[in-house]
Amino acid sequence: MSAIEKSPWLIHYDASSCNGCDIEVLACLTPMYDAERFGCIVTGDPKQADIFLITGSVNNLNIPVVKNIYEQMPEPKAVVAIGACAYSGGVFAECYNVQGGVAKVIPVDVYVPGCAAKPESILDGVVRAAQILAEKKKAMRKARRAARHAESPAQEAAK
Amino acid sequence: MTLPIILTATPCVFGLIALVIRDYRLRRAVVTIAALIQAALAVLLTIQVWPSLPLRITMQIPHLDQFLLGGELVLAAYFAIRAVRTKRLLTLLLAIAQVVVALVGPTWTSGIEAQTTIVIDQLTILMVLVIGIVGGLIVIYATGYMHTFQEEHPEVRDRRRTFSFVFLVFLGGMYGLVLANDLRIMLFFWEITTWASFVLIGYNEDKVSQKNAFLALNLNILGGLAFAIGIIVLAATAGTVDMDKLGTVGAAVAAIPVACMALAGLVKAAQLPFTPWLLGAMVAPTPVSALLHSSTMVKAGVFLLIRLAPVLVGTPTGLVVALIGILTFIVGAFIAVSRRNAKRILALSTVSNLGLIVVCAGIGTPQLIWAAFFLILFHAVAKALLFMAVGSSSFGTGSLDIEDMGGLIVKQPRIALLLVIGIAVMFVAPFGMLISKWTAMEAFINMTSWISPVMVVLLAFGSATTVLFWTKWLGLLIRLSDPAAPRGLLEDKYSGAEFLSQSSLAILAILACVTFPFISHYVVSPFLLSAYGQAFTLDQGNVVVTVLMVVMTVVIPWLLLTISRRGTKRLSGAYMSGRPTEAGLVFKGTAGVKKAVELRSYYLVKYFDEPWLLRWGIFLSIILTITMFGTVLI
Amino acid sequence: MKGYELYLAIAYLVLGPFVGGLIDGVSRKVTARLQGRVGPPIIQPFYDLRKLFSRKLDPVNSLQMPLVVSHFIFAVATGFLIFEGSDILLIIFVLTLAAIFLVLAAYSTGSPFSAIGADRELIMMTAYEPMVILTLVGFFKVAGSFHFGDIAAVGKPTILLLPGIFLGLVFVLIMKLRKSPFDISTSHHAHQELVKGLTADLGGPALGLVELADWYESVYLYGLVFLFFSWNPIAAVLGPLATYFIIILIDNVTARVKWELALTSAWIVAIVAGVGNLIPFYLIARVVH
Ligand code: SF4
Repeated sequence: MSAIEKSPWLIHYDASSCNGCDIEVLACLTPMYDAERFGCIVTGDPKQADIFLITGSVNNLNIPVVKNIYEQMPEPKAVVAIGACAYSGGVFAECYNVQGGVAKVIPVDVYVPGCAAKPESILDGVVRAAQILAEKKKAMRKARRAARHAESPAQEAAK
Repeated sequence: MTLPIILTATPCVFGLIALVIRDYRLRRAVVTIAALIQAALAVLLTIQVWPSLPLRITMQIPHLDQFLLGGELVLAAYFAIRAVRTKRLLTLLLAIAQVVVALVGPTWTSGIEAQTTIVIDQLTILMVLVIGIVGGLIVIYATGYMHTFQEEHPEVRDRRRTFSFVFLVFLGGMYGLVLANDLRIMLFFWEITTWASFVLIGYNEDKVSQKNAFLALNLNILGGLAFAIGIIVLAATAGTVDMDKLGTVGAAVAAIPVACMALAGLVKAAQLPFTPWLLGAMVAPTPVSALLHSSTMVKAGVFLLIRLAPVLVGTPTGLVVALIGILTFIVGAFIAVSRRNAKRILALSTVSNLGLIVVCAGIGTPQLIWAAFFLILFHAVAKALLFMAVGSSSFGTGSLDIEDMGGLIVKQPRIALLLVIGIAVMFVAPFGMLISKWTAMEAFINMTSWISPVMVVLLAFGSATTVLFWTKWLGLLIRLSDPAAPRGLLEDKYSGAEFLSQSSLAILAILACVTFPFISHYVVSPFLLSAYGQAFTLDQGNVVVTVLMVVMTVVIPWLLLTISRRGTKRLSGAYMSGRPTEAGLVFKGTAGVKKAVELRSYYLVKYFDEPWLLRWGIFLSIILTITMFGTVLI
Repeated sequence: MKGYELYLAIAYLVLGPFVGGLIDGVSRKVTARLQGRVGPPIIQPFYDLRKLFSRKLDPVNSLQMPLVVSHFIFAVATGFLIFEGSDILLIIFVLTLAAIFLVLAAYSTGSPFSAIGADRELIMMTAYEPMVILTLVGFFKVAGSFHFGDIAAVGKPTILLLPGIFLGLVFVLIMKLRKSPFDISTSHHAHQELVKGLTADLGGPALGLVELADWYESVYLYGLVFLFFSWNPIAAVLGPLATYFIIILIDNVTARVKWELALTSAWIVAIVAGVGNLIPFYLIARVVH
């Protein structure tokens, strides 16, 4: 098991949701659901986070912030879009000022269904995202190794 | 053995030459040469007398009495004229008192000849080198600085010739002061430094400068009077005017003269309640501050007190001096927390550090004198560097506020680096000042007297706040809001003379930090051995640890810095709560308005309120001073 | 130097991270249990650390990493020198140096969150330093030495002679370990008003180094606690453990204070408990004289 899977640190951002899903996210930290038993820590700091929990339909003013948070997170990273809003805009989909889904702004790895999403399914989404992270990490390592291999024959040839 | 006299006379002669040269370039060359020559002479003197320390020289100076009397009268007359012109009654009265004392003094002292005119020991050598090298570098710096200063401040009358003259005579006066063993000669040079500082503080000739110059003058004449009275009493009761005879005349006889001279020392060293004169002196151009704070003036005060230390040990006077010192130490450190003006912070830190030296002198055990020695050395070098760098920086930024020094490492990289070195030497763990502080702390803890807990507690609280205000400043200097910004934009007014003198001081500071065990072994220990009959040496293990730490503190950050510069890493933006920012942390605020991040530091004014602290400090110290004289007279 | 001290110091270098990590892990578990949660596994801190070092993070500027690494080196060196038998009074100033490096790393970023965190950390340093020095003075009054080995071997019930000092040390220990109510510069708990404050701009290996340095620090800080109980083997085990649990308890039942209260309360505690405890020593010394 990769290290990243055992300690997925979270950042949570409310991209103009109705707050319903956010309350459920916070419920995950309560003794009832206790997200910390999976090693989760809600850091609030993109530079320390591995998984981006995002709720809401993303209105136009949110776009730069969502992008900035995503960019400040170090690779590899995973995005969990929580609730119907984050998937498609949900009940806000018809609004004049929303993007209608997180995927329109940043790539999403896991969707958690519901309106509001249940804490159990949010936790499930986090655990899935952690697995995806581990795979991404593996892929990165492989790519790096491949790059190194690709380099060394070239270097030898140069000599 | 005429070298000491040549050393004292050289700066004065060059000062006179500078006074008559009208051409700026020529004068600049002459002043620079003078600075170099006198520094070379100081080194030469050191080399020459080194094998025969402590050296005692007796000289028959014909008409010494008349000469000194004449000098005193000229100075007093100058003060009186200035007082009358500006209608300052207090100064006039003090000047008259000075005349009276000068005139009646010889009635008691006539016929008494000093046994030894000049004493040169390790302490003298330390002072001579500090005056020669640090003072010399400040003179060189001043040539560059004053040129820019006059350009920037056309409203100030150009009196650079007087400036150079007084500046150089100041150094000469200091040489005389530290070399003389004959108290009357010492007093004469003492008054010379009073005069020089008065002229220099009032250089700008505006209202504030005048007011502060006269404040300094009043207090220092007062100190000089105390000194003179001390000499007269000593001559009348013990029949001697030798500094080094003080210890042999007996405690009862020495009590009053020593108290008087200690008072003079406290005034010069800007201890409470006399601190305001030094705080006011910062209105002068920066080289003056650098000179007053590092190698001259205040160092004369602590020099005298350390000379008195063997007589002060265990006496009520010594106790009071120590208490005044620790009070000044903590009040200075506390006030510095709440200040934003760089020169004021430096001034307060000087006051605070001098307080610690005064404590060492007042208690006067060998271990503490060891600490005082190093405090003088490191403080002189670091403080001169800091004042000079702050002055140079202000030409570029147009401000002395430390808040405006945010990101100086980008805007003025060379000056910022020098400031960082200076600040590090002032308070960072393994460097000079801290070693002395630690030694002092250990000495306090080892004492059994009731003042031990007082000293320990106040030193602990004082040094904690010291860390606060220095680190805050350091943090401002190295703030990199925009790592990609072009370097050195505000450094174009930084003259070569300024950079040269400052970087030499920085190198000296680091050298002193690395070689302090040798200084301790070859300079301080012999001094303690000859003055106290017992030496103090640092524990071998501690020396190793400190030297290791110094090296680590210098090498590790530097090494890592080079490594991290090499690696062409992509930089990520600073955390701004998810807000995207442009270069220099500019972000889009409400309604599309662009805003740059503005940061302000904490100053804790509510807890470290200057007027309140100063008022109580002065009140307590006045009570202490009265107690001192009370116990001595009774 | 006594023979065993070097071994002790080397053991600290090698085992420090494990002990420190366990201290952290157990405290997280206990906290979870106090809150009625299951909590993370006890070795969770090691997972976290491994992950942090496996990540890559672009620094904010070229100064940041050197300063963080310096912080780490000096924090580790502090403990090494304490256990190795150097003069603790001298070493405490090195400890301040380590803290200064971290504060400077935060200042260098220019981020308001880091900067305010740094400001607060600096105020905390001002708050706890006097009490730390007074603690050492207390040890000296009891053992007549500033060396770890000598104080540990004093054979007197130090805790009974220095109850006030002990209280003061526990008080500032909470500050040094950045536990609630004094976790104002950066916090282990989620969602503080400064986000991550002092460490807001640190991620990946940089944060890992800070974390590791904290572990080393907690080891020698509990080493200082141990000195109060060293006279008796049972007390030597139970004393630090009890202190540890009391600190966890306080962490859980208190709300974060403002810096003003942190500063004033720490100084008042230092004066009342610390100085109050020292005065009898001087009185006794005078009577004996
Ligand atoms: S999905 Fe439902 S509960 Fe969640 S934010 Fe949207 S509207 Fe609110």
